[in-house]
Amino acid sequence: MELPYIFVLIALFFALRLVTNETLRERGYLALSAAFPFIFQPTVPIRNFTFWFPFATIALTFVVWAIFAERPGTDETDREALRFPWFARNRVLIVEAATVAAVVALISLSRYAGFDGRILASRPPRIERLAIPLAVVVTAVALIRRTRESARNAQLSGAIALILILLIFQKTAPLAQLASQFLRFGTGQSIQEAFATDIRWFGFSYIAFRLLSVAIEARKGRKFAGTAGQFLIYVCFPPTLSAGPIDRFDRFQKELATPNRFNDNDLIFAAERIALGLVKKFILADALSFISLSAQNAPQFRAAGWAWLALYAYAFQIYLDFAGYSDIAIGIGRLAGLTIPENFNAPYLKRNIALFWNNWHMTLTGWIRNYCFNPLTRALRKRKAAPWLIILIGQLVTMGLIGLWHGVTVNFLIWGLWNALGLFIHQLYADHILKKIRPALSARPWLEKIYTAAATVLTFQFVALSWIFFALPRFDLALTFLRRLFS
Amino acid sequence: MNLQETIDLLIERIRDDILETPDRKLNENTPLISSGLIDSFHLVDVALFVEELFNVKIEDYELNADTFDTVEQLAELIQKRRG
Repeated sequence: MELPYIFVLIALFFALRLVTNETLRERGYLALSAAFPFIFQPTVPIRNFTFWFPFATIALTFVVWAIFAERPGTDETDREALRFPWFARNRVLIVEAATVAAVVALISLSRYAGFDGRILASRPPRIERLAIPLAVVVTAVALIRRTRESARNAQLSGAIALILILLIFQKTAPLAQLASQFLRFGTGQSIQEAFATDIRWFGFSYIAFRLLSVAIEARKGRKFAGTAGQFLIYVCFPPTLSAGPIDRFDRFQKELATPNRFNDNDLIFAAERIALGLVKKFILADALSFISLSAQNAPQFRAAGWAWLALYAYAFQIYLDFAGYSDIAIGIGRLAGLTIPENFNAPYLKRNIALFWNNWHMTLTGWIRNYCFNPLTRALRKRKAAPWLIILIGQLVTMGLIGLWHGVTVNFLIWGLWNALGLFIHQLYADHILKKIRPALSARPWLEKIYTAAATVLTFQFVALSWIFFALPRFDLALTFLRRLFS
Repeated sequence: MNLQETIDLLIERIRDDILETPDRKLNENTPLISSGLIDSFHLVDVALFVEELFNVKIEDYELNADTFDTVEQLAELIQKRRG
């Protein structure tokens, strides 16, 4: 998210806040949430896909909503609802879908207004090209809503599988290249020029996780309130589109549906958080980027001291960059009267690796815990596996997945597994050694202070070393740099 | 079983079986998850013993501080599900 966009978002959400009619204001949020996936989308070299990727985001969101939402009149017991004609039963859906369709059509029409490159990064397709894809989405949503409730679980499984496949294809370079070749073949472009980087689907890692969280819980039988429009605002809320946080739909929807939720402190809170975020991201992080570790400067370090400096600079740059974005998102969210969950809570000041991970990118780790770690641990616990083995498997799988979520590469996997081993060793230490020495520490406050300070430094050091594999794209580059640090 | 009895039983089980530190001061308002007192591994054990003891299902996605963070909140959740 670039600086001008941040100010545009602040202005738009502030203007919408002045709208007193709740329904109208929510429609405004909906229009922005439909427009910004297009506006943020960077240029894609595959013809018209700068337009079709964000279009697919919106289509997927509507389809997932159609699957999990209540379907009035589809079951024997619900014949009462059928007394009303179809359009009366689906009035809200029709108005919301029309709002979104109008936004999408306007973006396509910007082609004729000479706005090239301003609203959409490259020329949108002609408006008549929209007819068939729009008709397909409308038909899919209408058909899903006519199927019985009993068909829901199979449809959810299908949606979960589809989202996972899209995510894997986007994150894995050879598969992304294959997808690019396939799409280029479809658009009549040269297949030889297909690169993995062509598949730049803006914000899809976050979008996919939001869609998956609802689909997985709905499959377990959870019912969600919320209209299609509210669901789209949740999935594509512009301030959180590029870098999270990953909220939960039930929480977000409750806030959105609360009338008169604004209070006097919102503006002060928003101004403070946005200012803090801007300083973190655009002053501190951007300044650190001149000296921090990167693929370009990694081979150039001769002295260990400079290498350590670059590594520490990177550790703070990545934190300030990411936490800064989160602050801005939380601040703009509050302008809109919505409390966005916190994503970072002083992670580098924590005394062990488990606490670090409870306070770093909290909404992502919470997601992985809910849908991966907990079910896996529960399954292993029921099979009566040895506790140390359960912890080891649980940490390796979940941290490995967090690594791969950033991209399917050897280095991201090593970064994840490095942290997994840290968490595993910490758990054994906490269960077997710390438990015994804790009374002695508690009895001597000065000793406990020294212990906590040393543990915090050690934790930071461990995390900082792991960033080598996060910052550098190739294994040999990371290994050479690691050797340089200790030379 | 009323709310107070549920709270007492939960405190006893969490103190003895999960934290394994009988001397630790634990009451119905002690933050369990947000404070890191119960780690993510042992949180699953809490779900398992609650399901066994009270015959109440706690889903995997409910094992977080948003759903319950204290013994009192967990007891209320159990009471609500038992009807």
